Order: sequence, then C-alpha cells, then structure tokens
Amino acid sequence: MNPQPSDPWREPGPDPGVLNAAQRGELVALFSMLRAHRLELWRVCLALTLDHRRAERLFHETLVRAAKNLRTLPPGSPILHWLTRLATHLAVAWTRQEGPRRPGEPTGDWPGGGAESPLAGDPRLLAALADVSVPDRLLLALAVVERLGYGDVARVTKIETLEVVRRLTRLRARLAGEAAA
Amino acid sequence: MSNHLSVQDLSASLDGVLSGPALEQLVAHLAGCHACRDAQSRLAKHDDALRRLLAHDPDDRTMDELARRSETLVVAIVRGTPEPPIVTSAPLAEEEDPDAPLEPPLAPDLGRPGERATAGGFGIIGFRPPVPTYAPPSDPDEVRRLIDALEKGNAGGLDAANVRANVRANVPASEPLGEPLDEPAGPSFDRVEQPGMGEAARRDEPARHYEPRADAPRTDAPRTDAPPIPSGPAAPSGRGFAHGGAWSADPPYHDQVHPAEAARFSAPAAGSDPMSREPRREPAWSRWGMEPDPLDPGTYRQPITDPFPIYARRPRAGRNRIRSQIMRASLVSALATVGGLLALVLVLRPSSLATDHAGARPAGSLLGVRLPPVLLTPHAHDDTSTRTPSAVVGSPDVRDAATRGAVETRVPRGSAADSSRAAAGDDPHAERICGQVVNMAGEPVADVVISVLGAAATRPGPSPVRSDEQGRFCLSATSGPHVVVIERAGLSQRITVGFAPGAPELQILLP
Repeated sequence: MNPQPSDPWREPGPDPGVLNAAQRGELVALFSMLRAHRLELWRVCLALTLDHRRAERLFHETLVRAAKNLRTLPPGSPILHWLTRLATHLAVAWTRQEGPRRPGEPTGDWPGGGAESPLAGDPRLLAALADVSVPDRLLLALAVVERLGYGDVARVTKIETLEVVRRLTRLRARLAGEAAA
Repeated sequence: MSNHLSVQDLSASLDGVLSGPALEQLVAHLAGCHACRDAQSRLAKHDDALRRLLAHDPDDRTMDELARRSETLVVAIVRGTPEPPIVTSAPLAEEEDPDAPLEPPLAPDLGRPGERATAGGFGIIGFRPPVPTYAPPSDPDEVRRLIDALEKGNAGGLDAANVRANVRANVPASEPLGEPLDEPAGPSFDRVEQPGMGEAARRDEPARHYEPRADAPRTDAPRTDAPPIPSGPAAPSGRGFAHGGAWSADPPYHDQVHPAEAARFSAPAAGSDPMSREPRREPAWSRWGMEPDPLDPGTYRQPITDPFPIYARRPRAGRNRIRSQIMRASLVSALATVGGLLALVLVLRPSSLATDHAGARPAGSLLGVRLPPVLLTPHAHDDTSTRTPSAVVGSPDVRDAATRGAVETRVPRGSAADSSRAAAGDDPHAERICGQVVNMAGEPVADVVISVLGAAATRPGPSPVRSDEQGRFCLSATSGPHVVVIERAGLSQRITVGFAPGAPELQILLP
C-alpha cells in the first residue's frame, strides 16, 4: 500500500531507491510515485484548465510526459513539484496553440456543471479567473487552495518569493475588483 | 499617506504569513477600521469561492478510472509498445465530430428530402415510387375550421382520425403504387444509344417509351407549383433518355446536350432499321458522334458538351514565346551578374596589391574578403643588389609561371638584421629582438624577467634575461614566432613574438 503523504507539497524527493527503480522502468515503483500525488495533480490540472475534460487530458499528458522524462528528474527533487511544473508547461503550450481567449468567451465544462456548479451563483468570478494567465492561476491555486506559504509557492514554481507576493497581491486585487495598492 | 492597510497586507494576512508584531499591528488596525475590515472580508470571500471552485475533488471511482487510463499510457511508454491515444471521459470540444448533428436525428417523416425520396423509391429506374409525387391538396375551409377549433379549445375538432379522414377525402384515388413497371422480357442493356452495340436487339425490338399507367387516371389537377404529372401515354417528342434500357421522356438535361450528341438521345424513327444496307450519307465521324477539331485540322474529337469555351485553349506558340522571353531575360541577368563579379575582382586586386608590401594591412584582406596574396617581387634571376628595397616594393612587374610563391620570396635583409645575427653568435638562424618594458605611465620598468618559452634549440641566446634600469632587454631565438614569458612580482604574462630579421623594437606594457 502507498499511504498518502501527510503534506505532499512539503515532502522531500522520493526515496532514491524507489526513484532509481522507477527510472529503470519498474512499473510498481513508478506507479507508487505517481499514485501518491494524483489528487494534488488533479487539482492543479483543474485550476490550470478550468475545464473538467481538458483537466483530464492534461492529467494524462502530464503523467505521460513524466514517464518519458523520468530520467531527467534529479535525485532528491520533490516529484509533485516536478509534475506541477510539467502540467503548467503543457497548459501554457496549449494556451499558446489555441490563441488568446476572447473576452466574454464562456468557460469550459465544469464538474457538476450547470446550476450545481459551485460557482453557479458567481459566474463573474469564474470568468475573471478564466482571464487570468495559466502561471498566475497556478499561483492562486497553490496559495489559496493548497494553502502553501509564499516560500513553498516559490519553491514549487521556481519564482522568487517577492515576485510571488507581488503577483498574488495583484491577482487578489484584480479578482476582487479592487485597485492594486 | 493612507491610514488603511494595503492589499498586500490584507493578502498576507489571508495567507497566514504574518506573525509577531506585524500580525498584532494588523489585528489592532482591523479592530478599529471598518473599511479595512470590509476589504479583508471581500478578499476572504473570493478566496473561499476560489477554494470551493478549484478544490473540487472527484470521488474515488472517478479518480481510480482516471489513474487507470493514465497507467495504461505509462505502461505502453515503459514497455515501448505503441502509445494508445489519450482519451477522456467525454470528448473535448475540438475532438468532437464537426459533421455530427447538434440535435438528435429527426423523425423519419421529417428527415431530409433526399433520404425520404430514396426510401420512397424515387430514382430507381423501372420502379414506380410507392408514394405520390405531389403534395396533398389542402382545403382552406377545412384549415380555417381547424384553426378556429384550436382557438376555441375544442380539442375534439382536432381528432387525428377526423383530420386524416378530411384530408384523405380530398386526395384522389391513388393508383396501385410500389410495383415494378411492366416491362417485356428482353435484354435490358442499352440498345439504342450505343453505336455498334446491341444491333441485333435494336433490330428485333423497337425502342420502348416510358408510359405511365393509364388505368387510374387522375381526377383533379395537382398543385400549380408542382411539376405536371403525365396523365396519359407520353407523346413521343423525338428525344428520350436512354439509359439502363429504359426510356424516359425528356430528361431535364437534354437542353444542355451538344447538338452533335443529340442524335444519341433521339428516339429512333419508327420502322427504321439500323442494320439496313442502305448507305448513309452523313460522314463516319458524325455517325460516331465526333466533330472536327478546329485546332488540329484532319482530326476529330469528342464534342465538348460543357460550356467550357474552345478559345480558352491557348495556342502553344504563345506559351513558347513567353517561355523564350523568360529564358532570354534569365540569360541576360546571369551574364550581367558574372560580368559584375569579374569587374569587382579586377577592382579589388590592385587594392590588395597596393597594401601588400606597404605593411599597412595584412596582404589579401580587404573588407573582410580574403584574397590570395600577390607579391610584386623581382624574378629569381634578377639581381637584387642592383635594386633598392623601395624600388622592389610596388614594382609593377607582372608575375609569370617562374615567379616564386609568397612563401618562397626572398626577404631582403638589412644591415640591422646582419648585426643582430652577429651579436647572437654564429648561428645563421638566430634572430635577436630588443625592446623596452614600460608601465602604464610610460616609465621604464627594471628587473622584469623575460624568457623565451620552448625547447633549448629555439633559444640560441641567453634566456631568461632581465630588463635593465632603462627597461631595455634583448632576446635571441630562432626565426619564427615564439612565446615570450614576462614575469614580474609573481605575475606572469605570455605574448607571442615573431623573431625575424629587421623586426621592430618590442614594447612591453605592464599594468
């Protein structure tokens, strides 16, 4: 069994033995690494795409990319951070391929959609979130949903801590409709 | 300066990164500032909404299914098997079939007209469609009565059986439909329109015309906008549609048939015998449905039955003329390019000659283009003693096959080189270079160790040497470039010095 880590965002890298086995192509080791973080990765994919079906595809493609490039993962690196950055790069690439989103364009399919959507009563927030760039959406997801501190967000995204603070402040002000200080 | 908290402070408080005095100060301010409290609650409300939106965790079954599909992909990658396509629980918007209907298919009665006609037997040669080819007539009075019943809410007046009965009462007695047309037994291949084929059948049987059944004549006229339905035996119009062995009267595209092809679609005259021995008066190419080719006299071609104009074929001569003009222009431009390049080479060569011996620039390098070095030196059989060096440099002698190459050209030796060689010893290959070591202020530097790096054979003279009070020194080495090491106070510097007769004085600048 693979017990869920207590705090997967702050755990160190995978066990070197497990990582080596996974890099050698042992499926058990590889799946144990990937299954341990599937829920966090799913939430990240959902925040990056804002679409249930696209989040599924991003989830699959991220794991496929991870399996292909697992040998490049340096020992000791947290695998969830690496998977998060992979998903972000893929989502950014998708956004570039599809072009900028037009203002007012409806967001995608949402789990539980329609009137049962958690934001059915506040569609403006969802529309505003859809206008936010993919990396900024990741910052919001890490800080607000995953409740990571600024330092942890900086470690996951490999962005300077002060830049994380500045961008989160600007994003909150933008989403709340307030003028940035 | 504002007395309220900044958005950054409020954001930091929501993220829980404040502690100690900063947190106490913020809490104290929020306790007394209504506006900041509202702003913080607004930000917190949006954070909660974001959390509800983005923290939507699927149930275990969905997550297991998601992981199972991912692991299928990963297994294929690890094992090197063909990677299956990535599938999602529902197709993405861009993956959906663009041709798929957005709505469920219509009921059979409301389907597309083409499908309905095909299902009804239309388009099948020799088969009478089982459905009428005209719309059912409508009775305005009956329609008005139904509308009135609808408006009054009298549903009984809209009984479907009544409506159908009322409508059917106006429909003429339909003829038996859905039966194959009565055709006599016989060959069903084309007998008339194919010249030279089916001649025996053509002789045996006259051409048959499509004759609608007359056993149930229609009693009412169809709608005015509907095509007229033949009510009796079709009068032979002299033209027919011969395909599949069945004749139909005047297919709609007969008006577009080329006149030369009209004979193929003409009904044979009654009693005519295609196999009769009577000589035909029309030419053979006409009988075969061909026409003379106006662009190639003496040949015949199939007639052009589409509206494509004949004059659209451009004569070949015109295209050749244009092609020759293009070739001529290309040839002229190529010759002009070659001539320009030759002129450029001729212009550049004297320039390189002028700068070769003057020493102002490396020989053969002009504007970044490396040209072969050209030396204007006296011939090998010339007596250099009768010429001064200044006369040799820049001499307009023309090189011939006996002229030595640049590396073989004899370098005139001056008296200074001879004296330096004498001072270096008896070695004829030893060259000596003297110089001075100065600092950045131009003052001479003494006690600087200068040596030639390399094997002992390359150092025929004393090495290393030290600069004197005036900073001067002299080094000896064999001809050619050598690495000279300059050492002073633990610092070492290396330069490459070319030892050659007549070399200028070496100036070493120390920082």
